[in-house]
Amino acid sequence: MPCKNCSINPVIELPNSNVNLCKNCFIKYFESKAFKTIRQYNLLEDSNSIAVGISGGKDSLTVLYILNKIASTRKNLKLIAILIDEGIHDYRDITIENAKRFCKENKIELKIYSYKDEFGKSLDEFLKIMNDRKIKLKACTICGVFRRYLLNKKARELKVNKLATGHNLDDEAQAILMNQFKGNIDVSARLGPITGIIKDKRFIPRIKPLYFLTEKEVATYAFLKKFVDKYCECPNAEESYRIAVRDMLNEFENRYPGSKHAIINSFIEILPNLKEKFKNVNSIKDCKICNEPCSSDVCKACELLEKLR
Amino acid sequence: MKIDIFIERFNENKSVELKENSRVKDLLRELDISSNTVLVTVNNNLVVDTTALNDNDQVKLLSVVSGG
Repeated sequence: MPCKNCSINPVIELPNSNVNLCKNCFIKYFESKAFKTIRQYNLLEDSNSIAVGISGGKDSLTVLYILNKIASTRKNLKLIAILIDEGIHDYRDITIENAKRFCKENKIELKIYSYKDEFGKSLDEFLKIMNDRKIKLKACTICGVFRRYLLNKKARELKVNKLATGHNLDDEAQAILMNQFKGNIDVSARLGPITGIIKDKRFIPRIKPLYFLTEKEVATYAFLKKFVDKYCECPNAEESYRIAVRDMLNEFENRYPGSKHAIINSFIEILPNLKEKFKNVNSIKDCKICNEPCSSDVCKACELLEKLR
Repeated sequence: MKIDIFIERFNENKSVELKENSRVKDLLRELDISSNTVLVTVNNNLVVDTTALNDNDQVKLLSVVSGG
């Protein structure tokens, strides 16, 4: 079946439909869907400065490109890319080069912060300590906590209004299921196209312009735009809970197409209720060690650092 | 017919014998790969699951899933 608009060879069959699109029609469709999410959820409201958390991979470079398209038409909107270098040999060093090339080509300011500089050790070094001392923690747990901590801290120091990430529909569907499976419904209340339930100046609101686009759609867009040269997978990814949920969900989607969209659409319906229910659950405190905002006496990052010292 | 495949994620080349008039979706089924986890190029052109394959086509399977 050819492209539904112009009858030439298609590059993608849109999920949940029999609609095929060619390269040009798909690019228009993709961008208009991202722009619609930004408009519908007011993702850029009251914003003159946006930080974009990037890794050098397809999702984050795509969201950076989309926001840069908007910034190029708005003189009062400034973009800064932030990259967190965890220090993962043969992985992050490769994607950093890709991120640097991309930002240079698109004339976007790039700031790089490393675990080594901020926490004293790289992730590879932390993993060695864990292995030597038989500390049972997963690499993704450490990374998730440290990366979130640094992204928020650095975005705040850069005085931006929002922090954009490349999370797509698949990422969000996985997060929703993970929270369901683990009974962390209060954590789900923080999800959505714009995150957070507690208003605090020290937490920079996070926005997800690719929220309603599938991982395959993002990969197709990034491929057509030639954002990434080659596939690169984190050597620590295999052991994560998320990967297990991702593979299960992909298998399920293959058998029952539309499942991922159904998860997101039903979640969006109940999200306002979740946010309302959990808005007063945790009051914001100051971490006794680093002074960063958190829900306990000591923040998760400092708690982990204590264990790994 | 014989199809040469490169699977990017595993940096692996292989050949697969398929029936005449097979399509991309038949190849993916043969390899037990979910369509929503890969982009498929045939002779370096991005294609969809219903695209027909021909003898000696060069197929690449590019991973869609995030690298972590």
